[in-house]
Amino acid sequence: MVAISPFLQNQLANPLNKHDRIYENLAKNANEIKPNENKAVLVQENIFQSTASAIKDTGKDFYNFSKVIKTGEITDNNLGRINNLGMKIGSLLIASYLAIHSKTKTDAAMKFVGGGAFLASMTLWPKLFINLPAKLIHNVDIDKKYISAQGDKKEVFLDNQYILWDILGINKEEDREKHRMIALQNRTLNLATVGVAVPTMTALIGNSAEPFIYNNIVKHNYKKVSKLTKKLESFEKYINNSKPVITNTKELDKLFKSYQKQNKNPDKEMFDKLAQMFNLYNMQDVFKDSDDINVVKNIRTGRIVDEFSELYQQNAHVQTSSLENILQDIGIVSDVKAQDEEAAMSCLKRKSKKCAASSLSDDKIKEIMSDLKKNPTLEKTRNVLKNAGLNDMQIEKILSDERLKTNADDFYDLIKDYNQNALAKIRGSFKAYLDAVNPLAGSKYESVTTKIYNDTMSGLIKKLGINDKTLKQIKESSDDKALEIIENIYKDSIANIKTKDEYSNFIKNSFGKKLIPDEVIDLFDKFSSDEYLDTLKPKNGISSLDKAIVGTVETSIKDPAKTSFSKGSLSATIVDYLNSKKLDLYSTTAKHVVCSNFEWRLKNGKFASYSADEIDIMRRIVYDGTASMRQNSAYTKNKAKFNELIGVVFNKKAFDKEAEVIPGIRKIVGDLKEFNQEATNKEIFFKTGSFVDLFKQQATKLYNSKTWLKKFGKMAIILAGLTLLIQPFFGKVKKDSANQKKDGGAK
Amino acid sequence: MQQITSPLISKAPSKVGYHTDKDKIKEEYAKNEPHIPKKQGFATNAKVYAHKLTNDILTYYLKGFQGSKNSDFYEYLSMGIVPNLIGSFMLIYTSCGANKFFNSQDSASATKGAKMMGAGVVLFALGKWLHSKISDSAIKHSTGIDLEQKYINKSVELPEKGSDQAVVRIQYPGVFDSVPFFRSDLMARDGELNHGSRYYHKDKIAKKAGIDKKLNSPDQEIDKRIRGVKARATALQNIGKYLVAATSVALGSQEAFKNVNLKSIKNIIKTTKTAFIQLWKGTNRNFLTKHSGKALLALSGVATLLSWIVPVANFKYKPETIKEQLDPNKETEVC
Repeated sequence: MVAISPFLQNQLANPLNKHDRIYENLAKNANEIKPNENKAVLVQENIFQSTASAIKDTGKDFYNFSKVIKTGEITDNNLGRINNLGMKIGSLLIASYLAIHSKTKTDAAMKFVGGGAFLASMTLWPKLFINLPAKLIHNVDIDKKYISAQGDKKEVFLDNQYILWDILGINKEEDREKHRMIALQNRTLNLATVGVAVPTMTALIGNSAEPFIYNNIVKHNYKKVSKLTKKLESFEKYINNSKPVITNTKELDKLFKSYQKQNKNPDKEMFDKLAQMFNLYNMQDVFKDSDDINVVKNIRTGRIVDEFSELYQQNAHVQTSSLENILQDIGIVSDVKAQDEEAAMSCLKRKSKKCAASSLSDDKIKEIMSDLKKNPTLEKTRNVLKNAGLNDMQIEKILSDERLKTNADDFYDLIKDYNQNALAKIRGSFKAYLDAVNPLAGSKYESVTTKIYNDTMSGLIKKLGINDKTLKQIKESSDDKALEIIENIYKDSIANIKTKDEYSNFIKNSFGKKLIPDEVIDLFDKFSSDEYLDTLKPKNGISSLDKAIVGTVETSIKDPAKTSFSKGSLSATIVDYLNSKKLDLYSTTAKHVVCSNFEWRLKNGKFASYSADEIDIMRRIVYDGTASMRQNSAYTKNKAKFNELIGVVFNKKAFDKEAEVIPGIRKIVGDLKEFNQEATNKEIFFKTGSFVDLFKQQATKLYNSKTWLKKFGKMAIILAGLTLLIQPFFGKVKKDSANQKKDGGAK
Repeated sequence: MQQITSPLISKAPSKVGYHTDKDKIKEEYAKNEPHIPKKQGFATNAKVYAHKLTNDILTYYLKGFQGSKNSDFYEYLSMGIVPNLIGSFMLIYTSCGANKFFNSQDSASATKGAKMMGAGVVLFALGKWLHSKISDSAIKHSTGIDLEQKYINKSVELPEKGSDQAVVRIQYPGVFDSVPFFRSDLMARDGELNHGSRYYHKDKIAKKAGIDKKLNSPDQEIDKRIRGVKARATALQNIGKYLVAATSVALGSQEAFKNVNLKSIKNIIKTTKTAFIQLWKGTNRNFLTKHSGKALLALSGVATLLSWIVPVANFKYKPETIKEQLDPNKETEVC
């Protein structure tokens, strides 16, 4: 018997309407109504299949999205999935934007690795540390999915109160309860841990991937440079094909237009502005590396202003009528001796007859005008006036008169053309040159030299056996204190060495192989050679502006038939830059040997003839000396003494033992000696600083990465351990809860 | 007093004990049945969020770990707030450490980097929220459908072991949380009890859709439209909010945020302004660095606009689609 609700009874008592008939039918057939067979099916997939279907499902999300826009129909499940699609698109956008704006390739690659690691961690964390243990310990597959009658793919345990037991094939009430509990508990565990786990996992994945990516990018950079410089022709081709860098077009137009509007002739103010605009320093926007900016900063372009003035004289045309007016009014001091303004003024004051100002005669003016002909250039005007007997001061006065009108259009066009063609090409070639040099010598993260610094220093710290405690001490102490600690490390290391052979071994062991690969030094030499620098020479001959901006062609002293393009400021700056970089590299890599050598000689009484003060200065030069002469000279006021002590410290002959195990060290030491004694302005290129600074930097980096890894590694391990340890406590079904469910009835 | 005519609220004789007084019925409903509260909007949403968060900490997680059969899907979704908050904090924290690791040459950049990352995380959440908020408000204005509308649900739990007392818990689900099963019934009931007509809300929405005639059965026509608006709006928002969030992260990555002073609101506003300009202008290094910021901003604008236009355009009345009367021949599916 079916119990009829009072509501239905009430309805039945009244005459039936259409709506009520449905209820009537329902009541009549109540005994025959059975639930429809469940059309849902379980998804049976292995790990590869599920990966493949994850990709396929993302494709389906796109389809569902377009479908819902068109029809407005979608299931809740698929609508939720579109949220994940949005998250994936958003992550990709963020990674792309940040990568575009990254300063280094490693950074850019890491943005995508980070984004990918983040998305991967979100799926991997529950899979590996929640679902897998639950499956192994309880044999409950929380991740189980099914396809519903509507075609949605859902997790079986998504809703704790709506689980499709019939398709799972779990029939016993107790088993069902256990599965339900374990699923719910683990899903709760996932939510509780995922907030900490995902960022930690992401960071750990990122950090493990970073060195791999970094090394490969450096390798790639190095290969690119070597390939480019294999043949001079190919390098020349590379420079020739470089993209011209056009800048300032708008600013030039604006500047010229403002002069034309005011009807003003180009003046010194304009030339100054032009010189500023054409200064290669303005290219710093185009460069991303601070080194490049330093290089362009160093190019001297003071001569450009004169060149502009000259070009103006040659290309601007004088309006003869305006000149005629000036010539008619101008007072000419007839004393030819009064060449300059001051003399003329004093002459006038004396009221000497000789000095009386008079106008030019009409005949004279006519003569000048006919000599000038039509549209004379400023230069021609100047010559004609000179021929007419006017002195320099007078000519200057006439030509700088405000009333003089010139037509400077040709001059403007010339400058614009120069900016867009010849100079753009020079800028492009220069940039291409620096682009080629940078992966080798730049102080940027991914250059070969930076990697050599880092590898040398971190290798050294490992070989010297410095423990974490000392690393921390070095990191946290002041420069002076750090100097002391590092000094003591060397003193202790050397103190333990008894024989010369042991010392040789010590040096040998601190560097497994050669300090700097020969190929790297070769590349340095190649880039600073005349042949390579000549590729920068403007192809269509050199204009006066080119000369002012990039340098001059000079005849070689050795071979007069040969001309070279090397004395100009452009190439000279590059050579300066490369030389200082090379020495910087020497200094970084060889400092360990120099320090050891110093302590070894000190121990063996080689400095007996020097006072304690002098030894102290030597020690400072060795450990704390930088490329900056200004800084080094703080050790002593006595320059001669300073140079003498540098000579002692970097005495090539004292490095005989070292030379046995490190061929070429003597040359390096010799170069360093010269370098230390030579006062230059090269210091602007130096980033690395003193040995102590380098040591401290590397110690800080090593210590930080170690503690970072310790901290987050620990966190990940604790978290993963916790998820495992808690598993046995899950799924403890309380004895009467199964009965209670029966009593309570379904909700 | 107006007579209530509805099959849901029976007009039964008073001797059975049924309420005839409208106010009493209302009171009864407000106490025991799910209903839409009058107060909706920012304050309510904030209150609901706070309610979910406190209950996460105090009960939902506990129930989850105990494996309680009373832990329902609403609670499961509410629990998602916690990993979201912790995750955001952790992202800033790890980047603090990671930056130290990556930029060995400049240790001071660690805090600057963390500030930028912090700005990124906060702006990410803000961007996501703002997009949905703008889109929802615009849709409410154009259609009369408040997609954020919440209702009060009293969930009576099964007694747990060792106790025969059934706990009643208050929940605040959204009326339109589900597309096919949005709470049309609650809308009807609210209209009936508070506005005198079962179709009060639907009629209002119909008017917004441009249907001037009074419909006999607005449910048939309007429910379809509501589902369409909800489905399209949510789909577009689910993509759009991440586009806006990505733009916000890009905004947070601008140099300006490196030196933001977190103690001064003035400074934060000024920094955000500068960052917007920096994002728009980009850097001159290449085409992408110059224009990617503009592209992101434009993308966000378009996404937000579309999430309003597309649902609303499909919602509006088109003469050939309107059915004023219930079609007796049409087969209806009973859920």
